[in-house]
Amino acid sequence: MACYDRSDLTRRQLVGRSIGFGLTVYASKLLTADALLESAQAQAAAAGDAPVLVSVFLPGGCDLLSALPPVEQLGLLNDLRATLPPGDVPGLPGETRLGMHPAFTDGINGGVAGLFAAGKIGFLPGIDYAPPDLSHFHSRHFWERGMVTEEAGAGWLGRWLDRHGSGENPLQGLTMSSNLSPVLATAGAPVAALNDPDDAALQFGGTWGMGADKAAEAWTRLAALPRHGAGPQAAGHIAGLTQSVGTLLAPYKSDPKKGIDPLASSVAYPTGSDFAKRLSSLAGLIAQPLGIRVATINAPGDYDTHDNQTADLTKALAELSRSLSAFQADLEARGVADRVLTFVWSEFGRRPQSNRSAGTDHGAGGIAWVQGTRAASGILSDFPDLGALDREDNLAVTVDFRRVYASLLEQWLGTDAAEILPDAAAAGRLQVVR
Amino acid sequence: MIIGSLLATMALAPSPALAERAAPHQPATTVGVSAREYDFALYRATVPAGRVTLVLHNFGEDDHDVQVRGPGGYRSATSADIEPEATLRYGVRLRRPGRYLLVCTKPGHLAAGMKATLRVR
Amino acid sequence: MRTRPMNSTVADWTEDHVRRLFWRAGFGATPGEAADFAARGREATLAFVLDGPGTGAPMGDLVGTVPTVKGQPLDPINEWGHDALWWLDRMVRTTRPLVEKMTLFWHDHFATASQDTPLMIRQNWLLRSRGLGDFHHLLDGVTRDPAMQLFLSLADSTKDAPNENYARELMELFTLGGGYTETDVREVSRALTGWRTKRSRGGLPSIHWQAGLHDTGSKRIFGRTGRFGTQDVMRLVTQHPRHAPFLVQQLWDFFVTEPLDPATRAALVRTYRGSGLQLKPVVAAILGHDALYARLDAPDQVKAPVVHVAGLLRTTGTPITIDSYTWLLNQMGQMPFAPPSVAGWDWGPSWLSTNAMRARVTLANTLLAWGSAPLKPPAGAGNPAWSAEQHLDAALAAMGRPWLSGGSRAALLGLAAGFYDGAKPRQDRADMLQRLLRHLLISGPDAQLC
Repeated sequence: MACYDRSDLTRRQLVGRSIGFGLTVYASKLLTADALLESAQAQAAAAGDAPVLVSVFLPGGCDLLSALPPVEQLGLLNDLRATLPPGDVPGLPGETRLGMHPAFTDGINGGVAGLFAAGKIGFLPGIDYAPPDLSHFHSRHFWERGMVTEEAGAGWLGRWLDRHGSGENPLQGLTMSSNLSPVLATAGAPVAALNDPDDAALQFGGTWGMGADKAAEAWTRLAALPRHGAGPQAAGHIAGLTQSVGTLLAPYKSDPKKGIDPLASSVAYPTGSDFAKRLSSLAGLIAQPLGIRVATINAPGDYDTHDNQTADLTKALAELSRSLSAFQADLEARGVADRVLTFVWSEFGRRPQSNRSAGTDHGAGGIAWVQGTRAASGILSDFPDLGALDREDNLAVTVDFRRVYASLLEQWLGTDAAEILPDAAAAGRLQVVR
Repeated sequence: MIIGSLLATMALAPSPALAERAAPHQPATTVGVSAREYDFALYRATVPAGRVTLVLHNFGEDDHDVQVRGPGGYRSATSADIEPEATLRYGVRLRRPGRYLLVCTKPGHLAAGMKATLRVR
Repeated sequence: MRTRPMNSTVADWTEDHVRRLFWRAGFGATPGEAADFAARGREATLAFVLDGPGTGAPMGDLVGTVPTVKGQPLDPINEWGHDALWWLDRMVRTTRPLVEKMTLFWHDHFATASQDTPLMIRQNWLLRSRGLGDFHHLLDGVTRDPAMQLFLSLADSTKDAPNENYARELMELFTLGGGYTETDVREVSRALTGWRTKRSRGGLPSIHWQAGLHDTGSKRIFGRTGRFGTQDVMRLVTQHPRHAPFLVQQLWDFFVTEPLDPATRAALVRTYRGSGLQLKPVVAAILGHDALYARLDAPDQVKAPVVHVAGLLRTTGTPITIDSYTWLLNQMGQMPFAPPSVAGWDWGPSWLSTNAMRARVTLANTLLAWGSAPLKPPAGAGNPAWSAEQHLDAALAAMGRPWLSGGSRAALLGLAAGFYDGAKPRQDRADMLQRLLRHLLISGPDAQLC
């Protein structure tokens, strides 16, 4: 079977080769810092009220049957989960056939459950691709690329930026982390990774006044030198983009001594959560005229619940629910909610039969959802039947992730999916936006 | 493996010259401690009397804390909570030689066995 | 052991060759090393890199100033973050850089995290002591070692509850990369059952074999049937036809940026299999291959963060005196002993995000400007009477003469020539120029490449 016919490529190799394709265009342009900045700012301003897509990745493979237990099949579920009894399953608001993980009520306005009740979430149970590949690295790579191929290359949203994004504004594609998400890897379009908007400026220690200006000029020149080969191009290209990010974000730097925080939120995010802090920064940045179009962030927690699943998943989903509900409330408070759609996903689901370590092994038919004031609400795909498992005893795949991607590209980003996804024509569509 | 461990021990021991030079100030002795459900592991079993800095890392799933209990009814204050994946430095002064106990004061944790012995000489 | 390179068509042997080899197989060359080994020639240099100075310390001696933080020696076991500094120091001061580079390769290959520090350091010594030996022996050691057993839940995987985690990664990431089925994963996980964690109160966990927990039944792995156990699995995966090409490719990609052509791959596979899965002959063949020395005037491997930091310290002769490297490495995206997942780090251009590049600039600030910066130029480091060339040469000398492209050289000379804006050069401005030139030499795009 093709599904288990793995190639020699590991994820490291795949990803290592996916960046640095065709960077020549930008690396060879000798733009001054001012010109580059002006251009980036102009392109940011032109983006105006353009829709923003936020991708939230739950790494490890989130368990559908714990997140949304099928109450009509609780008996079957109990039999399959001998070491992992579902316990009390609260009902999903307004749904008779599905329950939910108790942690989904954590957070302001009732957490993820509250968002669902308010019609701001559309769940996609059974999402995956067929036949499923149970390797984290392969499956993640497929989702990141938007195609089921082991070939290296740009990510699906990176390809969208290459075609529809700006040529100069790195903030258009933003990973809120130290390292760029492979979803945003581009062939040429500038993108950025950011830990903390307060800590974005390039400083050359021991220089000031005119010397600091000379330093910045010299950096711009060094960055713009023509270079050949993926590594050298990346070094120059990224050096230039790093400088742009610092300059573009300079007006939003906080000054605690003066009590100034241009990105401050009126919403109380959960404390002690780095994820929540990054989401808060992201909401603040989206509300500024910075031209952010696509953003990615990884959720914390261990979704790869081979053992100790009950505690691990409760903890992970609670932090997720608290953080995402605060993020949504923040976007609404800032008046930008109608142009932000959040897409939450994981690389696969987990096996219906629990293992003997009170956990579950890699499986198929996972969970994803769209979230936002303009998200289609309800249960958007068929819930896989626990009584009709596949030959490997996994859940059936009821919606292909490429169908969701194609729908997001057309209904939310307003562009032809066939330009971005090779399988778009065959993928079909479903309503993900209202 | 045995050779590797032996070399590790040799290479990790501070050189005598440096240890002597540091002696007049008698800096705090650092003890690495890992916390998880429901266990402490101490990376140093014995310390000289005086200031001790516990460097606690939580490898577990739940919050933990630490309190040191020792001879003559000694009880340190309870540390702040240590969240999973977090590290906390916690300083205590253990003046009297003897056996001290590190315990987690979270409900049920001590009963579940979350304690470890530190010897002070 | 035969360590002579199988490909010896490079006629001359220059300082550029030495620098390339020392960066790829270690952490850079000082100007003195570059000159010395260029004179000693190719064979002698490769022999030195592979076998060391012959002082009888197979894992290398540490020479130079012992590291300190706030005047105190490192305490890698007990002090958080000192484990990373301890290893960084080995990279900086060892007489056998290749041994540390291979340890880094294996730490990425057998990526392990989130375990007690003493267990991580014990695993690190295992990787170091077996990293250039017999792969089968290394794999066997890693499989039995507590850090990996606990990280991938091989410990306490029993006949009644086999856990697939280690079995899957063993084949996908450690030995084969492909060519196995889901059935193989399940059967290998059965064959690997029987290891048990033992915890003593207050002490570290250890791993014990408990025969009663091992699945003694018949298993079918790669089409063969038998009552397989741990030993058999080690043999089956290393004898699998996909293993040698897989491992050879991994090693090649670690050292060389040029693609591996089929003929070279076949030759390396022959070397590896012919030696009985010995690692040193394959590594020797790769380090001696012409492809490693392609485009000496335009380095194209992105330095991994630890290689960048260790290289800067090593080539400038700077001992570790501050602990800032810990958080800087974290910001740059490579915290030793804490790889992001069992797949290790993403190498190559992926190291360079805008955030990581900013952290590399911060590293230069930490070394040259801030607080107790170990390479802070003293007052008077610059001379107002110097020409642009003299300024650049002084900065290059102070920074261990790092590689600089022609274009970058011209840009820095332009910076020096125009730095005073036509005003009369003053001492404080000359010092600032000298600081800035040194900064750009270690923070600019060229400094990220080797």
